[in-house]
Amino acid sequence: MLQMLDIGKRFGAVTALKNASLSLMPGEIRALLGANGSGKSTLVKILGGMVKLDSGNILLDGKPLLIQSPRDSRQNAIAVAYQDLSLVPQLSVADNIMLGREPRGRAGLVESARVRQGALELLNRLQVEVDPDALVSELDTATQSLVEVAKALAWEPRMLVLDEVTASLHHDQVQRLFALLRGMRQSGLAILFVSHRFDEVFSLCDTATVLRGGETMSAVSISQVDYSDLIHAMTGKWPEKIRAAQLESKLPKKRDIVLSLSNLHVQNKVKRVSLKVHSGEIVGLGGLQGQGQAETLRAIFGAVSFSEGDMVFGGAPVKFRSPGDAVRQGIGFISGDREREGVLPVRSVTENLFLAKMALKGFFSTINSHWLFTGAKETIRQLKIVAEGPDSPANSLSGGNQQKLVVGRWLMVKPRLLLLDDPTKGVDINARREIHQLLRQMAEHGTTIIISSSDNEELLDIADRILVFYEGKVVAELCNDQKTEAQLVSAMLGVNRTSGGGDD
Amino acid sequence: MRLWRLLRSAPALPGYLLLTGAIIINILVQGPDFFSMDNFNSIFSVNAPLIMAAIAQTVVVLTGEIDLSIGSNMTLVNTIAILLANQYHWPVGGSWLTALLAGTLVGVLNGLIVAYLRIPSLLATFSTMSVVSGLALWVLPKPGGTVPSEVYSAYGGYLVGLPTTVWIIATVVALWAIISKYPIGKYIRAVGGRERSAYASGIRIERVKLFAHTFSGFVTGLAGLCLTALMASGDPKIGLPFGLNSIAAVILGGTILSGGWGGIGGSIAGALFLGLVSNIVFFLFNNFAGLIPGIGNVSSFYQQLLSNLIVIFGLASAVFTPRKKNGIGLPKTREGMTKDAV
Repeated sequence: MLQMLDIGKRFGAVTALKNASLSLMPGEIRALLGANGSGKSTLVKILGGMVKLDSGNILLDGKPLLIQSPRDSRQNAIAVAYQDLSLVPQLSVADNIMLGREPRGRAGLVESARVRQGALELLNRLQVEVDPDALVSELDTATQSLVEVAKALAWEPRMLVLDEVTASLHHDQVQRLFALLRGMRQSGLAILFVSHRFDEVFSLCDTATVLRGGETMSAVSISQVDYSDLIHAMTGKWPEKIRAAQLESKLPKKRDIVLSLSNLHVQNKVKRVSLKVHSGEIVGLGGLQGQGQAETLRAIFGAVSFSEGDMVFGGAPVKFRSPGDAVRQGIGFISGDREREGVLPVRSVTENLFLAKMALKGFFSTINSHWLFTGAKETIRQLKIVAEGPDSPANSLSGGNQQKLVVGRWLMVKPRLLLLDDPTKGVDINARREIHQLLRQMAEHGTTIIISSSDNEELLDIADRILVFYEGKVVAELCNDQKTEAQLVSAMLGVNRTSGGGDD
Repeated sequence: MRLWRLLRSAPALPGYLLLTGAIIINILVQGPDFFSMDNFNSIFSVNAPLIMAAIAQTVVVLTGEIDLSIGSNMTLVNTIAILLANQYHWPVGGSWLTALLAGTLVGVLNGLIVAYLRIPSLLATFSTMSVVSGLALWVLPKPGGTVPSEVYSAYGGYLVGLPTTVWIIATVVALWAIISKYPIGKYIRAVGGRERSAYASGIRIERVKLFAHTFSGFVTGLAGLCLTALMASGDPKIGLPFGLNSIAAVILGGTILSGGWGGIGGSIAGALFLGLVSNIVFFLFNNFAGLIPGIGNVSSFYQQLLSNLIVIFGLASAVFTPRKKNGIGLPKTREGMTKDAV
């Protein structure tokens, strides 16, 4: 049905795509895979009309198709759900879903009742329980992603492109979405599915196209490959057996307590959370999205105030009034929300790297620019950040490299405690592994790490100990042999408290 | 509870609160005279030009742009209307319609520059502001001219029991309400809310911006005509204060300058607040300042100082009230489906 042939695209000096090809049949679910910077997003944006291609052809039903704008793409029944969302925060859920194709009645007026009804139908199909009159800015990110999918479906597309929409969804939400997608493929919907989660790709997709360096490396049938084949196609290397090696080296050493919380209470979100963290330990916070993990981290960091409870850091009781206080005491914070809480997009790589270090100095302290430059170069080399140079702006980097910038920022100041909130959201498997290695190195040098993640695999992989949150409380602590996926999932679904359990 | 929720999510809340406050204080300093129909009439006819300018500004601000040329555009409309009627002896209707058309064209010009040449509106309208005020000076180099007495007495009079200016404002409000019911009404907010999202949804950003600027130009034209009827003469500097005051009114009314959030109701309240503040200060000095010795002879300076201080207070409270930590509107309270997931 759809064919993209030898697509090329350059942004200035950077070649994003060369000879990328892709085909999609009705009823097919194809995965689009590739490391960060491999050109996945660019290809998706070309399909969505956000970016114009430089060379190559797109054929729809055998006829050449010219996509000049998102309008062209939508009119040819291609709908894209973007990773960074195409929602307007200030409009209601219903208005967003029907934006651009409002049902109109007499004299061309928008019929708001039908807007609401149409939106409600789509939301019901996706099984999202959300008030269609609520503003999108009021929703949590998982719900926003689902609304984005509903919005794409509103166009009744023949081809649906899902660009990492599952990144912020949780297990049960993903399963529901997949059930719906499998149903829709029966009626001939073609789906292009972009994800970093291999388990999702293997459970949903029929075929996969792998991009590396802007080129299509392989187009395969999922049933004929395994994880390592795909990783090989993505990276050109066979995956090492990192995990096995790392399990042996972990010896539980009891060291001094760096942070202890007792009965921490944050309004409506966190209820009587107590925890103790030792130096050099990596503690994972697990659970469904929005069960209080994010607020706990932010309360420690002083970004959210807690109403009750005590916090002892480095032996002294503390209560930070602002993140600045926390940073001066040696606490670092890395957010998964790069755009809002991470990078300064238009500033240079160097400035981004030195941001935390600078914050420790006064407003008028002197800065040696040569020292900055060499320091930045050194860090770029050390973290294997792919950038044109220390002067290029942070937004010219791919998502995974931007996140490495933020990790590098804290690596420089060597904090005693590093807090991470879902740091590898939307980061590819290679960059994720590198970030994990950096975190392990930091832990070995005595930095204590608390990491929350929506990805179970990541938590099991990196954390020495996992605290599972459910409705603002810590319901389970998993360490050593209890640290299994089954234990984690059952704890995060709160199985021991509700009789029903998950639906899958 | 529901009402409170509704009120809190209304972008215009700060505007309405400020206006209510101003009305109460005005009643206190002015006394029972406030409640006469003639007083309402004078409030509305004096402030109608600013109210209209604020409406014009709001529409542009909702798309995430700004229009600095509103003041000079009003001047241009004033000078053209006066010149054609006085010097060339055109009929009042014809000359005023031509002036209105000129105002609309300035809006079209702004729209073309902002939407199609992609020059930020702050720069684009700053330059059209200079060009247009130069044009006005060329049309009418020095103050002069008159307006037929029927026109200004009709403007300051009543129509079916209500002040004429109330009808004019109501007509524009109704027009905007109708436009809001069309897709373009949604698109204006969508473009201002997040331009990239609107574009990705297949909305033609350029057309939306062109429309907003054109509509704004048209309403600015009406504002210029109201000003002409009010002042009953021409002056190449007449519109000067309206450029920035219209922006102040928009902010006071709770519309967010980055776009996508707000409405004309708040801006009307904001404009009336600005008008009432000068009223309040006037009565304050008239009725009470005499009690303080030595203040009477420099009072006009102090009057201005005081009213500007009040406006700063209003602006500060308008900017800080509706914004929550996470951006716009209510705090994040809803959970969507995650809560019932299990």
